[in-house]
Amino acid sequence: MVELNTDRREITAKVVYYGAAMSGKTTNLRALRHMAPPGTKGRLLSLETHDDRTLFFDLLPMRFHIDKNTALKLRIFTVPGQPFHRSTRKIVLRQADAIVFVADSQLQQTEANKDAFNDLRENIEANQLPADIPLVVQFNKQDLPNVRSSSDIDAFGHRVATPTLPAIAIDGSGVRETLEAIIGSLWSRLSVEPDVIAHFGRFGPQTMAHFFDGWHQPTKNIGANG
Amino acid sequence: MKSSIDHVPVLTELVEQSLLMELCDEFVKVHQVGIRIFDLDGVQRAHRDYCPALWDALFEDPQASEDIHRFINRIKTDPQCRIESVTHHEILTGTTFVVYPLVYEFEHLGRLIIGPFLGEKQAPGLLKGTKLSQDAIGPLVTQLATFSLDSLNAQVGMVLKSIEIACHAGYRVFLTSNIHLDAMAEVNAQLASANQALETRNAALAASVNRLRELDELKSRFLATVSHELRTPLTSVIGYSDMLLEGLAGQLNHEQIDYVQTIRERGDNLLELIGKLLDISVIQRGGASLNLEFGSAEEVVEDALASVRPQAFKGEVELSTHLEPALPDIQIDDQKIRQVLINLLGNAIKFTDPGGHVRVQVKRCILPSGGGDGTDHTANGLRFLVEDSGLGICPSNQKRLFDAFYQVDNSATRKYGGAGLGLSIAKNFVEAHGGRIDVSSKLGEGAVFSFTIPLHQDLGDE
Repeated sequence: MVELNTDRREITAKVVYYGAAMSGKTTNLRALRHMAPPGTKGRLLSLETHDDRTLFFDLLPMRFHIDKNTALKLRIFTVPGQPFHRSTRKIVLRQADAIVFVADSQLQQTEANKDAFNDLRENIEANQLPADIPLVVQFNKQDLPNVRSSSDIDAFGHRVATPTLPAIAIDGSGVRETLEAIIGSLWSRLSVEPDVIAHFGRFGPQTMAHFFDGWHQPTKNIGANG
Repeated sequence: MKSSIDHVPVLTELVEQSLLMELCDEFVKVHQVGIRIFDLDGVQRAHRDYCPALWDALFEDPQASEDIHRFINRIKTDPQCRIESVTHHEILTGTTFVVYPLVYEFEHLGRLIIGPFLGEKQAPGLLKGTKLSQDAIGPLVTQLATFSLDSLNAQVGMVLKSIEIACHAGYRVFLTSNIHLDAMAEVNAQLASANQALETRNAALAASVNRLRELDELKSRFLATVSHELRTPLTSVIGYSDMLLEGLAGQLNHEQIDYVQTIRERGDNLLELIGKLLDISVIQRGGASLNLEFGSAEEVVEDALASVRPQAFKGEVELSTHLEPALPDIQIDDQKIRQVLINLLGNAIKFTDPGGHVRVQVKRCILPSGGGDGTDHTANGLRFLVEDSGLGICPSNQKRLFDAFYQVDNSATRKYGGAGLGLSIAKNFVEAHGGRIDVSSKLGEGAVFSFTIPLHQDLGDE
């Protein structure tokens, strides 16, 4: 549920990175933090186990200037991917405004991806989120052998009517593009919401044009997690 | 439903007040300037003054006190101070205050006010409109530290960073504990839902059980009524058959006698079956009462043997008995125990081929409970055994043998007759005496049915 703070002219939205265990959700957040300029990113808060697996979730706050006085704040969460964390995933997904599904591109992970995607659908329903909630699917680990081809990925995107993007989160490639895609989906929804227009006015088509100014290029060795 | 991890915490949820006080103490000690920390609602959460004597002197004058409070209220709520620090001058004393926003992860948590201090090249205050004396206040003002804004910003930057780090640690704890609570609430909700489903199923099950009980009761009543209504006309059929056989309606020829004898025999079979149906219906309604008397086991066995002897003779089965000498008298309902023996003997003869044998044994036994306390190793019961050399029963069929209407093999009903009630009745009668009935058999090697009866029935509980 988007929060509007008219005093401070801030729009706050919740984005959840969902996916199977080890698909690269936390690595995405690390890469985002690595590439984002100061002033845009907060600290990455990880609640993880001793072996670096996400226990509850990660949280990365980000802030983008819509115009001189107005900001879009994102609270970006990841969920723990292991099947037994189902109830935690359900809790973290509550009130989400947009979802990035991180799939592992390796063919042998197809079943795990399917299970996680079905789990996502069930939790969307259980949390009474809109069925057409902004969703982007990222096919991560494109650098590994035996992965899904781009035509395969496109075909999947057509089938589920969802934008899909290839990525190698461990070196940052495709990570920013994924965030851009989900913000784009979210913003096209938000900017025409009567409440937003009533309190903030109408935003021009170029609102997002400068969101990613000053971002660093992807680099190697961000460090994987999950 | 909103998750508690989406709740944006306030300053006091992230950092303990005592920690903020500690920070203030250290700051004043090192930098010799007062510090105040306010939350987002303008409530002062921690503070430490550098020169309390100055405040005491100022607050002696009501007008000055009011002016100072108004000044503090203005700067702690100044909307300009949200993102950046703002410098304010307090005109009464000519001192400076700087207000810094307390921000954690883009969230405004409150304000930090540093002052009073003297800015570089700052003119002293005028104390206009007050009764305060410049001579009293002036020396106190001169005790205040002098800062350039740049050097103050650098020093306060350290404090802000410390608070931010404390907030980060606090937020981590805040999130962890809240997600634990959310997870517990989620599990509780799931449990409540599962319990609800279980209760609904239990209610449905209880309704089914009640319905089955009603049906069972109806069945027992039906059996009793039907058996009674069948027996009355059957008695007439048997009676008139006897009268015909005795020639009361004129002499019959051989063929007619043969036919009437058949009617008489079938009538007897039917009467026996109806008798058993009545017995079982009485048992199932919990109405089998015992007419207990002390009597001789030998007599009961002899009576039973006399009843089945014609059947054994017809089936060419040899009957024998082996009774332990000097058996004690036993407290039983002799009609019911005789019925048990007749049922067991009837079955044994029925399932034994011509040339085979059936043997009845009675011996003393020690029962764990019943007529004695079972600890003195003296016999407190009798064991009756009916042994045959018949077909035998395979172990898998032995469990249900004592169920009403059960036949090991349905084809046996057609071949040997019977309704599968005899053993069920026997079991109920034996158990009504506090005894136990068992079978031991192997297919093709005959069977041994045995039952125990305590010598004395415990009547104390009745």
